[in-house]
Amino acid sequence: MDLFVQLTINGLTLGSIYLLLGISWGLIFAVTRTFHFAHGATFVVAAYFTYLFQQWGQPLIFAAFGGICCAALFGVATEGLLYRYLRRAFATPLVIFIAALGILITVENLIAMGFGTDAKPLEGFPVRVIKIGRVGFNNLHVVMFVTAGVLFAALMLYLHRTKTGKALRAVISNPEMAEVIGIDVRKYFLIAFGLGSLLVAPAAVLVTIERGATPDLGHWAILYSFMPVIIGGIGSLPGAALAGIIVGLAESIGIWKISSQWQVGIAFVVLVAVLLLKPTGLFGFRVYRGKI
Amino acid sequence: MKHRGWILPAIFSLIILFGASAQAQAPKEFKIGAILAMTGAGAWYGQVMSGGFLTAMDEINGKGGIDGIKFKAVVEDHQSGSGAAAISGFNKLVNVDKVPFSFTSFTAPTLSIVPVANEKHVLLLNGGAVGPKLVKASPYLFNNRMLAVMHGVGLIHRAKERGFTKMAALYWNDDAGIGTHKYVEPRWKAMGGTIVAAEAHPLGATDYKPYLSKIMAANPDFLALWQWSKDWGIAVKQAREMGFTKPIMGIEFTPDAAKLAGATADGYEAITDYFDPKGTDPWTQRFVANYKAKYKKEPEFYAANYYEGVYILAELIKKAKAKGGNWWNGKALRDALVEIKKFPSVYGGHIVFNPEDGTCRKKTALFVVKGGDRVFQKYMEIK
Repeated sequence: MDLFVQLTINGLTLGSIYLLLGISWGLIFAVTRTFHFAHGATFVVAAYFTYLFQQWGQPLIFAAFGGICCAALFGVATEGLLYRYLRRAFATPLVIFIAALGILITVENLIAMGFGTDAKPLEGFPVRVIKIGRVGFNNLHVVMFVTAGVLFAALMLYLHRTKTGKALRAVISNPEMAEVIGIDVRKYFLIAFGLGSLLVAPAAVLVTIERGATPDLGHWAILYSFMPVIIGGIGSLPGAALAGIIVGLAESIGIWKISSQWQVGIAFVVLVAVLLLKPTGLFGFRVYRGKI
Repeated sequence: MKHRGWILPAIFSLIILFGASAQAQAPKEFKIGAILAMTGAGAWYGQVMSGGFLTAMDEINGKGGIDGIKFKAVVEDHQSGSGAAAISGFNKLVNVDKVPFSFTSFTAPTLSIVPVANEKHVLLLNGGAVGPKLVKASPYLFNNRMLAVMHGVGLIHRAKERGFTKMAALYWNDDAGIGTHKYVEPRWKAMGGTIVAAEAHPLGATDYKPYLSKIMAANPDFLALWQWSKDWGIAVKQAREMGFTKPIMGIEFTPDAAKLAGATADGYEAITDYFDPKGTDPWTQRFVANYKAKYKKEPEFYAANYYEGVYILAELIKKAKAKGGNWWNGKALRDALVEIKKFPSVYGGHIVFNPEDGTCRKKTALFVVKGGDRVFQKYMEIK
């Protein structure tokens, strides 16, 4: 029983990170229909700029703030300086996808050149172990869970209670119609990239505190960014959030009776099972054919 | 017509003489290969290892090379463990660059290039990989580091010495990790120990919570780590941050992983090759000074192994050349190694190769981590 409780706690903390990855990438995809593979690069930028600011003497909290801002700027720049021009040149979704993949690989290599390939830890988080019987976790795991919950709630409030949020939902719902009623779709694309990047950056900081940052972290991040979106249903942010938690729990509890080394495979089993049973995902209402 | 009797033998003699001198002709440069992890999760190793042999080459080339011939290295990337990438790179080294000698690293890539090395008679020197399958893998493969199984045996003797009986093992899901565990398991049981949890994980994993959950539930006396690179640092950190308080022992120590683990690494015991950058041996000091001047940091033992490898090769070249004939080829170099066996080591003392299985014996020690650095405890006699 101890093991089951431990695995459930692990699953919730892991799921919290997947939740942030999922809703951040899901927001960008739902608004812009861009398969933003460079989201992994945003993740790496957030981690390494936080590390950089800390090396320059900033305390963790300010360094994290700086890293999150840099990640948001990076996300906006990929839209403003690349995707926008590719769309204008009538680039196909595949071309945009390849360009985004190129950004991810380029950024990872630049980071490796600049910082080296050894893991970079973030220091200054006062980890406190919480032990109940043989079940153990720590305050960082609690922060992960709380951060994910708060940011998801804030995003939902923003999308439903503010004028900009409602306009974003309009673009998600029907971009052509939104343009007809006077919404500047290009501006909201930028906002979506900025918001999505802002949301993924805290996940990057928290993961780096726990495991350290390496240049290849972006590949892991992008994998777990689109997986919850597809499982939850494209266009449904609550779906992506729930799917993030489900994937985290499934990966963790799934190894209760099988070897832990198959953990990553479990996420893909969940993905395939959901797609077989409900191809639009748990909460998806339609699939954007030919636009992925 | 009467001259025919001596003209033909004279022509043949000239051909033989010319051929022989062409065969024994010295190369313009000693071009050697290296199959390393230059990209991917293990790129740190590639940087450190290449830094080691480049430092040695700079030293030797700076003194005019060996009899005026300088070293040149061609580095190919196995992308942190890809056998296919290793074979592709090694084929290029053998067929295009025509190298008779190559450094290698990582168990799987090394094993994948062994058939080509056998066929083309290329001497391989591994200073990084530790997998058990490297033992007797090829007559052309020699390892100038102690293999993991030997460190593993050292670890279980240390565990026994501390009075432990219940082991939990966390190990790389590859030849090195699985092989070490399989080698150690029966020996540990023969010593009266039990294994209460054994968890294999992918190389470069960053989330150890699932594995550690099972290990903690099994309530072992200690945790043995058959893992390398930064992985041990992350595993130790996450174990301590999950409240695992039992001793953790491993067969790897690298400063970058220790930095990652921070204060949680305190008390971690490692049995590994003993290269002390602060050692008093003059050669060690010269290596450390030159490496630091070039790379602005202290060398790891991985760098030391590859640095040492160049000097071993230099000895082989001198020996092979002294024997005469066609000396710049893998077979002549291998024959020289089998003959010499014992070389000076940059660790201090000597390294002794066993030509029967390609392994070596060199300084190995028990360390404990204190304040983020390893502290020497004692030398280990590993049989």
